[in-house]
Amino acid sequence: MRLSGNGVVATREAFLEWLSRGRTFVTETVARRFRLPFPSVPTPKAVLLPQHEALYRFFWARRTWNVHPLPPEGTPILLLAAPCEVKAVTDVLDAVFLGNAPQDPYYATRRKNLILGALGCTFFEATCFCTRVGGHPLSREGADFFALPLSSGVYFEGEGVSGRPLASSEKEELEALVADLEKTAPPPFPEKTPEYLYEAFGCDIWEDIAWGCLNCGACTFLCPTCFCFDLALEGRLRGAMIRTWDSCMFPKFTLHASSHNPRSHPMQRVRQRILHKFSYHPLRKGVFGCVGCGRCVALCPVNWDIREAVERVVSCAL
Amino acid sequence: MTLHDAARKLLEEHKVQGVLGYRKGSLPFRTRPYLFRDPCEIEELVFNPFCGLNLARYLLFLPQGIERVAIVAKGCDGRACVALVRENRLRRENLLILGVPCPGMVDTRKLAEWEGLKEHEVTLRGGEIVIRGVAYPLASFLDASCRRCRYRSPLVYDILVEGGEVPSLPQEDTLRELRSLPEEKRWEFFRKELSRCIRCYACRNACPMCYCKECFAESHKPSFLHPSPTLRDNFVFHIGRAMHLAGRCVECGACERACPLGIPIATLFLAVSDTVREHFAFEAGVDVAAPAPFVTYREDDPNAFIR
Amino acid sequence: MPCEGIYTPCLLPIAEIVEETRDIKTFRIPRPEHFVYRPGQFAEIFVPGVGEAPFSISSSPTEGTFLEFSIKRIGSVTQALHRLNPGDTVGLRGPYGNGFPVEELLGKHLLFVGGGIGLAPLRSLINYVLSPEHRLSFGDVFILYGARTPQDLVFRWELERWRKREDLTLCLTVDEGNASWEGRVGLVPNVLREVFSFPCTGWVSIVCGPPIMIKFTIKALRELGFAPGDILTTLEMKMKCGLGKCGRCNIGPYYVCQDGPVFSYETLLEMPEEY
Repeated sequence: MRLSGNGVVATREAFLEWLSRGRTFVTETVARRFRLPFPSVPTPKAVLLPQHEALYRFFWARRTWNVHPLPPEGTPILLLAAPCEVKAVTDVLDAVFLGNAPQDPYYATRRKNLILGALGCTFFEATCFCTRVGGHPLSREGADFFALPLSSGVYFEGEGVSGRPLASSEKEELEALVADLEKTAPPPFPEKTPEYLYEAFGCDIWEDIAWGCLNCGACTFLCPTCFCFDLALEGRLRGAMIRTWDSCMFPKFTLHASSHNPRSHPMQRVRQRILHKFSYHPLRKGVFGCVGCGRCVALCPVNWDIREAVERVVSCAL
Repeated sequence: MTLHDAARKLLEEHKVQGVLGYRKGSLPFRTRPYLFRDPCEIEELVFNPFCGLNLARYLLFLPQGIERVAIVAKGCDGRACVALVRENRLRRENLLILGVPCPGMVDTRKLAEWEGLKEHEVTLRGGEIVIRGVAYPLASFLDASCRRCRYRSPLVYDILVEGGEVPSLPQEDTLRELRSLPEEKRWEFFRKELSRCIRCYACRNACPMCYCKECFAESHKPSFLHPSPTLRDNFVFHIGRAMHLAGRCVECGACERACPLGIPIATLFLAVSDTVREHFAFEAGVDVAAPAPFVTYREDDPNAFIR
Repeated sequence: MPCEGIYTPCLLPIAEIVEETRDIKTFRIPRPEHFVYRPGQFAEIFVPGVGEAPFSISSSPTEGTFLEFSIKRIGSVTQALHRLNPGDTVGLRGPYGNGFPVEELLGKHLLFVGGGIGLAPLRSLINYVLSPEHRLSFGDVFILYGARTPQDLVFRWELERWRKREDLTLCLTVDEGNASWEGRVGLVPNVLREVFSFPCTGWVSIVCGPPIMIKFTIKALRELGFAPGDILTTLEMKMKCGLGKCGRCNIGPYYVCQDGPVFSYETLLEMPEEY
């Protein structure tokens, strides 16, 4: 769903005043592009699936072990994110934690308490590729409200902010923006990309593609869709079961207790990351597991670029 | 000989099976590591102030079939090579050090202030960096590790490339300010910075000297720290690594550049290097034959800390 | 103790511990009422202060109020488990996984091929099939079980019980015999070729054991004429949540903890070989 054009134009002050009524956060991407007076979080994932979360406490008392579940917590939060980051929540995180029975109560509670707003993008950064994976910089799909800065104020779709209807000059500005984005949009990956990649599993270019990757977790930890986590105990006689982010880039991720490791080689782990996002998740859920936000490209210490990797594998399979 | 000629010649004459160097990245001001195997590819080899990665890191992860490799080495890459040879990770005869004088590496985060900056809009001129026609002192754009660098060109090399312009920059004591603070303030600094760490291990994985098969940070038996990034565990990780790198850190700052959150993590390692320099009169990666400071007794150790 | 939330284990006392071999013990714990499972499923066992790990259930749901887990001492959790005594507390959550497709097996002849500790999940299905209420729903039962040495055979009392039954064939083999061993000596796949001499129409084979045994057993089964769809096996993968969320057991479009651990060889053939 693109912006309908049925929204209103509010003043920047009115919009900010409305945002300031609750606990409002912005994602780093939004913070970088627009100077907004709100604290930032790396991605919506950091709110919905925090990196450190205690699930239950355990302790030894009165000569016996005790376990106390820690109830899910969630305080109402408003988060302003880029459209791709909204898509990461609705397409991937929701699908895994809510759409896959049983629902995750911790995620569900936080999600219920989250008002997720999309702030439309007016240009593509060098790292952006949302249009390659089915997204759009002006998409309001899945968001509770949609906002877009115009020269004369803030265009707003949703409930809460009142304003006046679009003036004809503003309509033209919107149309010009849409046309400009259309022109500069990176073209989508081929429709059968998930199938191509699946077939290319045994292709001999993987070694070459993976070379250079440091196998650190920067990309996966800062990715808005990477949801893999670890459950690790903290404490001996008293402590808690902690849920924390994990990464398929780490060798211990799949290491069996028997010391067998199905993905012991760095190349296999790079391949897993690409295939999980661009093949396995789409084959399972019908949408890419990547939203094209480009954070992994921007933050990679060695400029390892996932776009090039997918292109190369696709061309290998073709 | 220029860098390109030297690299091409080495491949053409089969002196090496590969040249570890940098290639233009997919984003402005970014380079990426590349193993050049074909002399025809050499035209893509670049060396500029955006080659902050320490290539020696890749020497221990070469693809099969590469026996002898050349490495494009700035001062700190060269030091890492020497340190790795000294620790018996590499055989010197399998390594050809292609030394390049280093102008210092620009901290790309400092360029973020100029929106939409293009590569051609930035040039280096002596000790200055010219951005959109305006000259600024280069030193203010360099990483902390580069501002204090003592060895811009490799000390040990097989070929030293000519023509590289090495501006004479003053060696700055980048830690002086932090050192002058009272203990609580220094503690506060590290507490604030390390609480941001997400433990993605980019710093460790970018480090040429961190080559343990199993890092203590990820060991299960015994388990030293919890995988989640609490401040306590972050301290254990970074201090543990600093201890492990004491007398081994080559002060390249690759860890800090790798950090996706921009934590000035090299501060810790540079401080430890200073301590080792002061008390043991030792610098890692400077001399292949120098004995390791912690396992040797010397009559002339400054060892003021023992007395 | 009530079990709240999907990640919290319920604490249960260990009722009985049977020493099967020098490094395998069977733990019997009371089955909580809500814990309704099918053969081939697994559960997460939590050792307070140590950690949590997934184990297949080796008892059959037809057996009543107890659950059994046969566990080999390998990692930190299993080591801690082996140090426990009856009466000590462990945590349990589950059951997880798809289990064996029991409905699809109705009316079939069943060939069970197990190696080492791999008999544990098979035992759940075998005892399910052999239970009075289900025995007539299945055809012939053939069990081939192998271990390294006679001392490494698990469930010895159970093997005796099966041997006495007339409605099944039990064949035991070891890689290395000893003076008192009267059974066969030989690797499971080789013995399989010798002892299974019937036409394989109407048979389904269920294989579980070490990866290398599974690989060669499947080869032997294919030679005997089994179609890929008629060979079932269980995959082992590192798991944490058991709920298809934590992501680490992902192979291809599957999460082994939810879509598995039981897969047909037909499905395995389409999967990336990363297990």
